[in-house]
Amino acid sequence: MQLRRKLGLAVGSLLAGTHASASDWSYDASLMSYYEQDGQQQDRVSIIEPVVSLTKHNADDDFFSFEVIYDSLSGASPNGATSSSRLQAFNGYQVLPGYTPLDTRFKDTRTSMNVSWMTPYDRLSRYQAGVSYSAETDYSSLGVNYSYLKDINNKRTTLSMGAAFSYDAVNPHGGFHNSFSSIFLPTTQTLTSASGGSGEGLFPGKKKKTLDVLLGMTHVLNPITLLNINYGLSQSNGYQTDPYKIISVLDAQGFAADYVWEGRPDSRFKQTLKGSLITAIGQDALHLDYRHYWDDWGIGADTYDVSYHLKLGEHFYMVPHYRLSQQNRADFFVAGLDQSQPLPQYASADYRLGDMTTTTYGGMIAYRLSPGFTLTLNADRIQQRISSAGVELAQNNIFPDINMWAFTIGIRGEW
Amino acid sequence: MSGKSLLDEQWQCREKSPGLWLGTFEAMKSPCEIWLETDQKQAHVLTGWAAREAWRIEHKYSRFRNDSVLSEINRRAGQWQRLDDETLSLLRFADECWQLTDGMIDITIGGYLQYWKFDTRTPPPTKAVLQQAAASVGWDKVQLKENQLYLAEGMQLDLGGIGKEYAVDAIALALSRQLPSGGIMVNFGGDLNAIRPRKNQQPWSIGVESIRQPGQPLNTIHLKQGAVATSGSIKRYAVDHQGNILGHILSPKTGWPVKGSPASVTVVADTASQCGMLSTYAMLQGEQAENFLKEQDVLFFLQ
Repeated sequence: MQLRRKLGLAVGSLLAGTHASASDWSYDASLMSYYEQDGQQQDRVSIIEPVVSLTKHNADDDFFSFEVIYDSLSGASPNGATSSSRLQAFNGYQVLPGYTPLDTRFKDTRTSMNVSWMTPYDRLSRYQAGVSYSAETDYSSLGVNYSYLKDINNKRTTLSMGAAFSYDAVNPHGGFHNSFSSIFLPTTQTLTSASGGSGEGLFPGKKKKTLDVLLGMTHVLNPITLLNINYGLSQSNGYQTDPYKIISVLDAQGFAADYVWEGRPDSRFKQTLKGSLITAIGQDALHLDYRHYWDDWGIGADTYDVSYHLKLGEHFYMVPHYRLSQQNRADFFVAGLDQSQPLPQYASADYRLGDMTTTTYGGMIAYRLSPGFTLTLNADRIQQRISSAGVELAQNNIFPDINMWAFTIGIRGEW
Repeated sequence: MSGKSLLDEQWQCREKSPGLWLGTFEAMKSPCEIWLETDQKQAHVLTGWAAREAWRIEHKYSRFRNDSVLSEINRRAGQWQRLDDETLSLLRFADECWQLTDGMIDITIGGYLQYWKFDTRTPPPTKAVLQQAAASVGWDKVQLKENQLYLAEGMQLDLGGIGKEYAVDAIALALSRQLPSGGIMVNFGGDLNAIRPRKNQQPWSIGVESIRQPGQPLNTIHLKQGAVATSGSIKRYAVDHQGNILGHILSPKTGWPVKGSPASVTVVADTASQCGMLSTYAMLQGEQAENFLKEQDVLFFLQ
């Protein structure tokens, strides 16, 4: 008779099913510092980002969370023009021969607030919802989201269905410009409804509306392995041009004859498929992620992420991780425009829309000083290689590599 | 030092030997002990929490309090009702125990218990009363679907055989999550869970009280890790008109104690809930209690 063992299992599920949790508030606070430098030793943007979040847990499927993020961004950002063997002059700054033109006047702060909560409908279903708001001096965003989660298959499988909507408004310093108009011409637009958005509405500026739909499944494959698959659709309509990015218009010798403002489509449809596998290895855990992304701008990306949660004694653990992402460029991505050719309908020289390989090496160490207090340190080294293949111009080395560092110090705990 | 809770109850915490703290309070009609190998501050914080948690569980599942969740459930017999997650887990556990013990452990025993008074002098109910009560006893008459419960009218749930051991195990587990290292033992009147061994690997010493000489240990159990629970007691019984002592563990088949059962059964195994079920089930085996326990591959003491 195995009554003892069977009772043991029953007690196990009794105790697993009830969370007599002693601490119902948890906090998480961190400070990230990020900076980047390109292959020409030019310092680019740096960011200081404090984050504070507080969560009230009533149960695993019942919590309320509030988060505040503040970003201070400063430094230089590529303006989109190509490098040149000549001195280049832009509105208010000059760039030395051979260097990728950076707009050094880049400076902004962003404050964002997120509220999210999860509430059970019944023992096997619940919803998660949230509201977010963020504001920069030239950008505002308001978002809402809702997901319904349902456990099936004796709680071994969880299905989720969700939707999110965001309403963004861009209101650039210096106003809007007509796409492909020279940056030296005073073509600042006044905002009219015909130009893609009026000055009215919730926030000033041109609007962008995005609807996301998410479908997900989490399945317990075996007692130590969890599989998660998500599929997401996203449709954005409205102003999606970067109001600060320009494009070089090149003459037959490859020198800039003019610089014009970029222009992007006002509609974008994105799809994402993501799979994650988490498996326990003794006291450790291995996380494997793969993400496939594609959109109707022609961008496609594959991202692989591996991390290993290594437990080192009762107080210490570390999480080394590696990430590789390969992106192919948008259809309208160019390094520059040819003066002798007719203008395209859309074009952008923003390297973030280009062919790019991003590699991240990093790791976190966490030290638990007491049950209510864990200290974490995270460092990431990120390298971006941007390829000019397919968009070659007369110059070489159009896009220097970019090296980024991100350091985060954090505390978290409960009381 | 002592603390006061919302319920205006008291707990105490003191250092028994360097680094070993004993928190004490009263709950579930038992003296409760929380043994922790930690520092003074943590010992006080955790004892205070454990006491409040014990009182919360007691208040929620007491059959003797009108404002308990259990009383509310019993009052709503005759209609479908929604259960909270914790109560649902307990009833699912009760359901498994009922299945594993061929119906001998049955929380609908409340239907009989309401006619008994184990105050050492009140006579037992008459056979006629119990026969009438039988209609509202039997877990098979209860419907539990998802998180909805239906009790037939007149049914009375009793979690007396589950609640205390559950409190011991749940509190021990939560303490072990909060205290990253050091020994932990939770002992509610002899039902205990030594969830983590002491740092020096010395066993916890647990006295099994003698029934014939109260206060005297019959035996001392040395346990590094594990749990103990006892069923049966000399403090709670009824007396029939012939002077026979009738213990408080009733068979759900008859509403009467099983003949020939030991006065007390103590079981040592993994969790207090498991020990409690094994010891209660052993009591319900009557004269077969010892044979039953031998088959279970557990350490046990009969009195």
